[in-house]
Amino acid sequence: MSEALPDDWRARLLLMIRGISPLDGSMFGGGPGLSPAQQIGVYAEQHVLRHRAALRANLPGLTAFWGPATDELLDAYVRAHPSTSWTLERLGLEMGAWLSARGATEEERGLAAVDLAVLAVFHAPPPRPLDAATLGVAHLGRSPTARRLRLERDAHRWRAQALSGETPAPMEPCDARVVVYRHEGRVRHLELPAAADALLAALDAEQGRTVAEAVDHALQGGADPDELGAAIGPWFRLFVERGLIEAR
Amino acid sequence: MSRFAVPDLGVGVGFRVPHYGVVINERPRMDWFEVIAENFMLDGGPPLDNLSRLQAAYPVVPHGVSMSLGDAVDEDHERRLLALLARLNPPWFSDHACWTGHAGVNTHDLLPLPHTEAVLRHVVDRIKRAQDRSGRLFAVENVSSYLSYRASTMPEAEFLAELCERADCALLLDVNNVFVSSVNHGFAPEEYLRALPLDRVVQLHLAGHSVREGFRLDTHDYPVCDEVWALYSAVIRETGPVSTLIEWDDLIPSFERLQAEADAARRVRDEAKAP
Repeated sequence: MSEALPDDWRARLLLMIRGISPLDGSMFGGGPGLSPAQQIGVYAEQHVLRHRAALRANLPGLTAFWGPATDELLDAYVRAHPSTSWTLERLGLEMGAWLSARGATEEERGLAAVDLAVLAVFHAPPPRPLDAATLGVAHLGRSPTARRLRLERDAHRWRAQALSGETPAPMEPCDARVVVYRHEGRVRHLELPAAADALLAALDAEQGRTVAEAVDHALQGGADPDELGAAIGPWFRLFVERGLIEAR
Repeated sequence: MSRFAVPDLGVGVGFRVPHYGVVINERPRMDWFEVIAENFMLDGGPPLDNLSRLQAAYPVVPHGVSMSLGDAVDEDHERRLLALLARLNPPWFSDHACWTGHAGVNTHDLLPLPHTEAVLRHVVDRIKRAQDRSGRLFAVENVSSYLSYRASTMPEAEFLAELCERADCALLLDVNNVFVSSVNHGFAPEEYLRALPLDRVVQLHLAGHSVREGFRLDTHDYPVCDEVWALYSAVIRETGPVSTLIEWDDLIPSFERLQAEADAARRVRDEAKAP
């Protein structure tokens, strides 16, 4: 005998599956091997496992740092920030905010920032090609395949060591300007001198900037004129070679 | 025979990360590949490069996991899916008779639907919209399920038959899912199959599953079991040769092992065709 479906049946199921409300079998029929509450419990268990696996894949540096505490922390994160997208790739996007809200360490925040930058540039659209002949006068912008980070611990080095199977040295305090970028199908990172980072930051403007405008902007922002003047050419060559900038 | 003018692609496998290198670089023997649509609904990057190279070498059909037909349309998902379909130009595309989330929260699971008239009408509308906007044939897939709703007013097979008829869509019949659900809910899989419009089947799924305490779990991490091979044989005798896909998504073996599983499916198809 069928029973009326409550208007909020989806919402009720979601709360049980997410572990927010207790497993209540009243809407379910049960089966040969499972009680009604056990039936919804299967989905609740799979929910935990699926979200842990996705976050481990998306945040390999942070979860390597957390070690045995990982599952408990990921479960707490998912309770606070359930997936709001059709893709699990976006599940970890609130990790930085969540870590800050709970007073996480600089190591944790740095690793999350690097992990999320790697994920973002991996799936970013390709940069619009640059024409070398017009480089001097064209409007240039930072490529979507490049993300700038400023790190207070050398999380980028720790992460690279940990993911390559090495035992990483403890993270050291630093003031690193790091660009995470995709080039020729691989994601890498690069530490930039402060003036080079200022130059790249100057290209973040929506309409882009010419080289001359970018230099002016970097100088107005406090970049060291001597450092900037000595290396503009090599830096722009590097930006072009690594696909850090694009035509606008 | 299918009522739809779609090709029989033979026996294929899912395009999965551990095999990207061997498939793209060596072009091993395989009739066709299925791709998880959402893995390629991206702005750019290596996955799309790999998809282009796959498409240049094999027939490719996208299979979605996030349309959430039992809930509202996600317009970002729809826009990206339509872009992928335009890129691939497949003979059909597919997703599941399920819901995955509600009110902005997604579980990323294939949650079963209550089999009621109201839910049926909703899913029919969703499928009609998908077919209208894409201009392509949509195939709806039966899910493995672990729960049943007291509110259901019709058996799942009847729900699916009515869904296909009213939406005028195709059926992606997952034979493993039929078996898993038959054990979990205590119905006869042969009766379930008899209730389906087999002339609407454009694709079959085969997979392995796990035996858990009190139920079967659709894990796609084992070879196809004997009971599922027997059901597949029974289905293929009714439908004739239909594009068949081996799903193996966890504990993924070598590509050679997948080829062997696909060969086993080909043997069943050949036996079914024999006079």
